[in-house]
Amino acid sequence: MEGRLLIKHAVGGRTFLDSAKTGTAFAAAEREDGGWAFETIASAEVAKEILRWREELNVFVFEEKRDPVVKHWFYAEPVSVAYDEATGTLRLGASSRIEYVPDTYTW
Amino acid sequence: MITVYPKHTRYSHDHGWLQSNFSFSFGEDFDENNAKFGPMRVCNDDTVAARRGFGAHPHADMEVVSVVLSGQLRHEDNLGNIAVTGFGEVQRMSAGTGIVHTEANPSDDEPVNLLQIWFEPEARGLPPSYQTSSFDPNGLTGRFVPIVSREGGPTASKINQDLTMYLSRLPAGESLEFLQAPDRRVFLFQIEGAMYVSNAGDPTETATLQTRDTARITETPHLKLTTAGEEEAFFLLIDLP
Repeated sequence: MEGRLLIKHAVGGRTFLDSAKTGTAFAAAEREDGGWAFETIASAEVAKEILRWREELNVFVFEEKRDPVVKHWFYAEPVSVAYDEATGTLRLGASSRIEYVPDTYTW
Repeated sequence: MITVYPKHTRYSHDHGWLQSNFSFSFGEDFDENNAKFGPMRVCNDDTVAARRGFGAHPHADMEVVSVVLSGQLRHEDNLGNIAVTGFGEVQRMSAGTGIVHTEANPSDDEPVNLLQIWFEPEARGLPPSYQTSSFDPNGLTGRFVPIVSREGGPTASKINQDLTMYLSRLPAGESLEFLQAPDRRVFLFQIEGAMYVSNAGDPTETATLQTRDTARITETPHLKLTTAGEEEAFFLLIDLP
Protein backbone atom coordinates (compact mmCIF):
# COMPACT_ATOMS: atom_id res chain seq x y z
CA MET A 1 0.00 0.00 0.00
CA GLU A 2 1.36 3.41 -0.96
CA GLY A 3 0.54 6.84 0.32
CA ARG A 4 1.09 8.80 3.47
CA LEU A 5 1.54 7.07 6.81
CA LEU A 6 0.27 8.86 9.88
CA ILE A 7 0.40 7.65 13.44
CA LYS A 8 -1.60 9.79 15.84
CA HIS A 9 -2.81 9.72 19.41
CA ALA A 10 -6.39 8.49 19.39
CA VAL A 11 -7.40 11.02 22.06
CA GLY A 12 -7.42 14.33 20.27
CA GLY A 13 -5.31 13.57 17.24
CA ARG A 14 -1.82 14.63 18.31
CA THR A 15 0.49 13.54 15.48
CA PHE A 16 3.42 11.30 16.39
CA LEU A 17 4.61 10.45 12.90
CA ASP A 18 3.77 11.84 9.45
CA SER A 19 5.69 10.32 6.58
CA ALA A 20 4.86 13.30 4.37
CA LYS A 21 6.67 15.63 6.74
CA THR A 22 9.63 13.40 7.46
CA GLY A 23 9.99 12.14 3.90
CA THR A 24 10.32 8.66 5.31
CA ALA A 25 9.36 5.61 3.35
CA PHE A 26 7.20 2.96 4.92
CA ALA A 27 6.08 -0.54 4.15
CA ALA A 28 2.53 -1.76 4.71
CA ALA A 29 1.84 -5.38 3.92
CA GLU A 30 -1.18 -7.53 4.39
CA ARG A 31 -0.54 -10.55 6.61
CA GLU A 32 -1.77 -14.06 5.95
CA ASP A 33 -4.19 -13.79 8.87
CA GLY A 34 -5.82 -10.75 7.27
CA GLY A 35 -4.06 -8.26 9.49
CA TRP A 36 -1.47 -5.70 8.47
CA ALA A 37 2.21 -5.19 9.24
CA PHE A 38 3.88 -1.78 9.11
CA GLU A 39 7.51 -0.86 9.11
CA THR A 40 9.16 2.56 8.95
CA ILE A 41 12.12 4.50 10.25
CA ALA A 42 11.58 6.74 13.26
CA SER A 43 13.71 8.64 15.69
CA ALA A 44 14.09 7.31 19.18
CA GLU A 45 12.14 10.29 20.50
CA VAL A 46 9.17 9.62 18.21
CA ALA A 47 9.29 5.90 18.93
CA LYS A 48 9.28 6.57 22.65
CA GLU A 49 6.01 8.47 22.41
CA ILE A 50 4.44 5.87 20.13
CA LEU A 51 5.42 3.10 22.53
CA ARG A 52 4.13 5.13 25.46
CA TRP A 53 0.71 5.51 23.86
CA ARG A 54 0.62 2.11 22.13
CA GLU A 55 -2.81 1.39 23.56
CA GLU A 56 -4.26 4.53 21.96
CA LEU A 57 -2.90 4.80 18.45
CA ASN A 58 -4.68 5.80 15.26
CA VAL A 59 -2.75 4.45 12.29
CA PHE A 60 -3.64 5.79 8.87
CA VAL A 61 -2.54 5.47 5.30
CA PHE A 62 -3.91 8.26 3.12
CA GLU A 63 -3.95 7.64 -0.62
CA GLU A 64 -3.76 11.30 -1.55
CA LYS A 65 -3.02 10.74 -5.22
CA ARG A 66 -6.43 9.27 -5.73
CA ASP A 67 -9.40 11.51 -6.45
CA PRO A 68 -11.28 11.55 -4.19
CA VAL A 69 -8.74 10.81 -1.50
CA VAL A 70 -9.07 7.34 0.02
CA LYS A 71 -8.17 6.92 3.66
CA HIS A 72 -7.36 3.71 5.47
CA TRP A 73 -7.55 3.45 9.23
CA PHE A 74 -6.07 0.45 11.02
CA TYR A 75 -6.99 -1.11 14.37
CA ALA A 76 -3.50 -1.27 15.83
CA GLU A 77 -2.34 -4.11 18.08
CA PRO A 78 -0.62 -2.60 21.13
CA VAL A 79 1.49 -5.70 21.75
CA SER A 80 2.88 -5.52 18.23
CA VAL A 81 4.45 -2.08 18.56
CA ALA A 82 8.22 -2.46 18.65
CA TYR A 83 11.28 -0.33 18.04
CA ASP A 84 14.77 -1.44 17.07
CA GLU A 85 16.98 1.32 18.39
CA ALA A 86 20.03 0.06 16.53
CA THR A 87 18.39 0.44 13.12
CA GLY A 88 15.76 3.01 14.01
CA THR A 89 13.06 0.67 12.71
CA LEU A 90 9.55 1.00 14.07
CA ARG A 91 7.23 -1.93 13.53
CA LEU A 92 3.60 -2.38 14.38
CA GLY A 93 0.73 -4.59 13.43
CA ALA A 94 -2.98 -4.12 12.98
CA SER A 95 -5.74 -6.69 13.05
CA SER A 96 -8.26 -4.91 10.86
CA ARG A 97 -8.81 -1.94 8.60
CA ILE A 98 -11.55 0.48 7.63
CA GLU A 99 -11.31 2.07 4.22
CA TYR A 100 -13.25 5.29 3.87
CA VAL A 101 -13.67 8.15 1.45
CA PRO A 102 -14.35 11.36 3.41
CA ASP A 103 -15.96 13.04 0.41
CA THR A 104 -18.77 10.46 0.39
CA TYR A 105 -20.06 11.55 3.80
CA THR A 106 -22.74 14.24 3.55
CA TRP A 107 -23.63 16.83 6.10
CA MET B 1 -12.74 15.67 48.42
CA ILE B 2 -14.41 18.22 46.17
CA THR B 3 -12.10 19.84 43.61
CA VAL B 4 -13.51 22.63 41.47
CA TYR B 5 -12.12 23.36 38.01
CA PRO B 6 -13.31 26.88 37.08
CA LYS B 7 -14.27 27.28 33.47
CA HIS B 8 -11.29 29.49 32.72
CA THR B 9 -8.94 26.62 33.53
CA ARG B 10 -10.15 24.67 30.50
CA TYR B 11 -8.10 24.56 27.33
CA SER B 12 -10.03 26.94 25.07
CA HIS B 13 -9.80 27.46 21.34
CA ASP B 14 -11.67 29.63 18.87
CA HIS B 15 -11.36 28.40 15.31
CA GLY B 16 -14.11 30.66 13.99
CA TRP B 17 -16.51 27.89 13.06
CA LEU B 18 -15.71 26.01 16.26
CA GLN B 19 -15.30 27.13 19.84
CA SER B 20 -13.88 24.36 21.99
CA ASN B 21 -13.28 24.06 25.69
CA PHE B 22 -11.49 20.94 26.90
CA SER B 23 -11.65 19.84 30.53
CA PHE B 24 -8.99 17.15 30.01
CA SER B 25 -5.81 16.77 28.01
CA PHE B 26 -6.84 16.65 24.34
CA GLY B 27 -4.84 16.82 21.14
CA GLU B 28 -2.13 19.44 21.22
CA ASP B 29 -3.28 20.50 24.69
CA PHE B 30 -1.34 17.59 26.05
CA ASP B 31 -1.14 17.43 29.83
CA GLU B 32 -0.17 14.08 31.28
CA ASN B 33 -1.26 15.27 34.72
CA ASN B 34 -4.80 15.87 33.48
CA ALA B 35 -5.41 12.86 31.25
CA LYS B 36 -8.28 11.18 33.04
CA PHE B 37 -10.66 10.93 35.98
CA GLY B 38 -11.38 7.28 36.55
CA PRO B 39 -12.37 5.98 33.11
CA MET B 40 -13.32 9.46 31.93
CA ARG B 41 -10.87 10.77 29.35
CA VAL B 42 -12.52 13.67 27.50
CA CYS B 43 -15.08 16.36 28.31
CA ASN B 44 -15.30 18.83 25.47
CA ASP B 45 -17.76 21.74 25.47
CA ASP B 46 -18.05 22.52 21.76
CA THR B 47 -20.04 25.09 19.81
CA VAL B 48 -20.16 24.45 16.06
CA ALA B 49 -21.36 27.01 13.53
CA ALA B 50 -24.23 26.31 11.14
CA ARG B 51 -23.39 23.91 8.31
CA ARG B 52 -19.97 23.09 9.76
CA GLY B 53 -18.60 20.08 11.54
CA PHE B 54 -15.97 17.39 11.89
CA GLY B 55 -15.17 15.41 8.74
CA ALA B 56 -14.92 11.63 8.66
CA HIS B 57 -12.63 10.37 11.39
CA PRO B 58 -12.19 7.14 13.33
CA HIS B 59 -12.46 6.05 16.93
CA ALA B 60 -11.56 2.80 18.64
CA ASP B 61 -11.92 1.35 22.12
CA MET B 62 -13.72 4.39 23.46
CA GLU B 63 -17.29 5.10 24.54
CA VAL B 64 -18.25 8.49 23.09
CA VAL B 65 -21.32 10.30 24.40
CA SER B 66 -22.68 13.49 22.83
CA VAL B 67 -25.20 15.54 24.81
CA VAL B 68 -26.70 18.31 22.70
CA LEU B 69 -27.55 21.35 24.81
CA SER B 70 -28.89 23.55 22.00
CA GLY B 71 -29.19 23.26 18.25
CA GLN B 72 -28.77 20.01 16.33
CA LEU B 73 -26.02 17.48 15.75
CA ARG B 74 -25.94 15.11 12.80
CA HIS B 75 -24.05 11.83 13.09
CA GLU B 76 -23.21 9.53 10.17
CA ASP B 77 -20.99 6.45 10.39
CA ASN B 78 -19.58 3.60 8.34
CA LEU B 79 -22.02 1.17 9.98
CA GLY B 80 -24.86 2.95 8.21
CA ASN B 81 -26.20 4.91 11.16
CA ILE B 82 -27.47 8.41 10.44
CA ALA B 83 -29.11 10.45 13.19
CA VAL B 84 -29.88 14.07 13.98
CA THR B 85 -30.31 14.89 17.66
CA GLY B 86 -31.26 17.98 19.62
CA PHE B 87 -31.74 18.83 23.26
CA GLY B 88 -33.63 15.96 24.83
CA GLU B 89 -31.60 13.36 22.97
CA VAL B 90 -28.25 11.72 23.55
CA GLN B 91 -25.90 9.95 21.14
CA ARG B 92 -23.78 7.08 22.41
CA MET B 93 -21.12 5.54 20.20
CA SER B 94 -19.15 2.49 21.31
CA ALA B 95 -16.14 2.53 19.03
CA GLY B 96 -14.84 -0.95 19.92
CA THR B 97 -12.73 -2.38 17.10
CA GLY B 98 -13.27 0.73 15.04
CA ILE B 99 -15.84 3.08 13.63
CA VAL B 100 -15.59 6.05 11.27
CA HIS B 101 -18.06 8.90 11.63
CA THR B 102 -18.82 12.52 10.92
CA GLU B 103 -20.38 15.00 13.33
CA ALA B 104 -21.91 18.09 11.83
CA ASN B 105 -24.38 20.88 12.42
CA PRO B 106 -27.13 20.44 9.81
CA SER B 107 -28.82 23.75 10.57
CA ASP B 108 -28.64 26.55 8.05
CA ASP B 109 -28.48 29.28 10.68
CA GLU B 110 -28.27 28.02 14.25
CA PRO B 111 -25.09 26.94 16.07
CA VAL B 112 -25.03 23.70 18.04
CA ASN B 113 -23.63 23.51 21.56
CA LEU B 114 -22.81 20.05 22.81
CA LEU B 115 -20.88 18.23 25.47
CA GLN B 116 -18.82 15.40 24.08
CA ILE B 117 -17.58 13.02 26.73
CA TRP B 118 -15.34 10.00 26.22
CA PHE B 119 -14.90 7.06 28.55
CA GLU B 120 -12.62 4.06 28.45
CA PRO B 121 -14.79 0.95 28.00
CA GLU B 122 -14.79 -1.96 30.42
CA ALA B 123 -13.15 -4.13 27.76
CA ARG B 124 -11.21 -3.59 24.56
CA GLY B 125 -12.07 -5.16 21.24
CA LEU B 126 -15.86 -4.88 21.56
CA PRO B 127 -17.98 -4.73 18.41
CA PRO B 128 -18.72 -1.12 17.43
CA SER B 129 -22.26 0.17 17.92
CA TYR B 130 -24.31 3.34 17.99
CA GLN B 131 -27.45 4.37 19.84
CA THR B 132 -29.57 7.42 20.39
CA SER B 133 -31.87 7.79 23.36
CA SER B 134 -34.23 10.48 24.54
CA PHE B 135 -35.42 12.03 27.76
CA ASP B 136 -38.15 14.55 28.51
CA PRO B 137 -36.51 18.01 28.60
CA ASN B 138 -39.37 19.14 30.83
CA GLY B 139 -38.91 16.25 33.23
CA LEU B 140 -35.55 17.21 34.77
CA THR B 141 -36.72 19.44 37.61
CA GLY B 142 -35.87 18.32 41.10
CA ARG B 143 -34.62 14.89 40.10
CA PHE B 144 -31.66 13.05 38.63
CA VAL B 145 -32.67 11.73 35.22
CA PRO B 146 -30.31 9.04 33.89
CA ILE B 147 -29.33 9.65 30.27
CA VAL B 148 -26.54 7.05 29.95
CA SER B 149 -25.97 3.96 32.06
CA ARG B 150 -24.51 0.49 31.89
CA GLU B 151 -27.99 -1.01 31.99
CA GLY B 152 -29.64 1.52 29.69
CA GLY B 153 -33.29 2.32 30.25
CA PRO B 154 -36.29 4.33 29.05
CA THR B 155 -34.33 7.57 29.25
CA ALA B 156 -30.79 6.23 29.01
CA SER B 157 -28.44 4.94 26.35
CA LYS B 158 -26.52 1.80 27.28
CA ILE B 159 -22.78 2.13 27.72
CA ASN B 160 -19.97 -0.39 28.14
CA GLN B 161 -18.77 1.01 31.44
CA ASP B 162 -19.88 1.01 35.06
CA LEU B 163 -21.17 4.56 35.14
CA THR B 164 -24.36 6.61 35.03
CA MET B 165 -24.78 10.09 33.60
CA TYR B 166 -27.63 12.20 34.99
CA LEU B 167 -29.12 15.55 34.06
CA SER B 168 -30.97 17.67 36.60
CA ARG B 169 -32.53 21.09 37.02
CA LEU B 170 -32.80 22.65 40.46
CA PRO B 171 -35.07 25.67 40.96
CA ALA B 172 -33.80 28.52 43.05
CA GLY B 173 -33.72 27.77 46.77
CA GLU B 174 -33.94 24.00 46.35
CA SER B 175 -31.60 21.13 47.12
CA LEU B 176 -31.02 17.54 46.07
CA GLU B 177 -28.95 14.86 47.71
CA PHE B 178 -26.95 12.29 45.80
CA LEU B 179 -25.85 9.02 47.36
CA GLN B 180 -23.49 6.62 45.72
CA ALA B 181 -21.75 3.37 46.60
CA PRO B 182 -18.41 3.75 48.40
CA ASP B 183 -15.12 4.08 46.56
CA ARG B 184 -16.60 5.80 43.53
CA ARG B 185 -16.21 9.19 41.92
CA VAL B 186 -18.52 12.00 40.82
CA PHE B 187 -17.90 14.40 37.95
CA LEU B 188 -20.10 17.50 37.90
CA PHE B 189 -20.56 19.88 34.97
CA GLN B 190 -22.47 23.07 35.75
CA ILE B 191 -24.30 23.73 32.50
CA GLU B 192 -26.25 26.81 33.64
CA GLY B 193 -26.68 28.74 36.86
CA ALA B 194 -24.68 28.21 40.03
CA MET B 195 -24.74 25.60 42.75
CA TYR B 196 -23.29 24.82 46.17
CA VAL B 197 -21.83 21.32 46.37
CA SER B 198 -21.40 20.01 49.91
CA ASN B 199 -20.28 16.87 51.64
CA ALA B 200 -23.53 15.95 53.39
CA GLY B 201 -21.48 14.17 56.04
CA ASP B 202 -19.35 17.26 56.66
CA PRO B 203 -21.10 20.46 55.57
CA THR B 204 -17.94 22.46 56.19
CA GLU B 205 -16.67 20.90 52.97
CA THR B 206 -18.51 23.04 50.45
CA ALA B 207 -17.66 24.37 47.02
CA THR B 208 -19.44 26.65 44.60
CA LEU B 209 -19.82 25.95 40.92
CA GLN B 210 -20.54 28.76 38.48
CA THR B 211 -21.77 28.25 34.91
CA ARG B 212 -19.46 25.91 32.96
CA ASP B 213 -17.33 25.12 36.01
CA THR B 214 -16.72 21.44 36.71
CA ALA B 215 -15.94 19.47 39.84
CA ARG B 216 -14.18 16.16 40.41
CA ILE B 217 -15.28 14.52 43.62
CA THR B 218 -13.81 11.54 45.42
CA GLU B 219 -14.36 9.93 48.83
CA THR B 220 -17.64 11.81 49.22
CA PRO B 221 -20.45 9.30 48.73
CA HIS B 222 -23.17 11.62 50.02
CA LEU B 223 -23.48 14.97 48.31
CA LYS B 224 -25.87 17.84 48.88
CA LEU B 225 -26.46 20.08 45.90
CA THR B 226 -28.15 23.45 46.46
CA THR B 227 -28.92 26.16 43.97
CA ALA B 228 -26.91 29.33 44.56
CA GLY B 229 -28.50 32.64 43.69
CA GLU B 230 -31.85 33.20 42.07
CA GLU B 231 -31.29 31.37 38.83
CA GLU B 232 -32.16 27.74 38.24
CA ALA B 233 -29.19 25.37 38.31
CA PHE B 234 -28.88 22.95 35.37
CA PHE B 235 -26.14 20.36 35.66
CA LEU B 236 -24.73 17.04 34.52
CA LEU B 237 -23.67 14.55 37.19
CA ILE B 238 -21.66 11.45 36.33
CA ASP B 239 -21.33 8.58 38.83
CA LEU B 240 -18.05 6.81 37.99
CA PRO B 241 -15.85 4.03 39.31
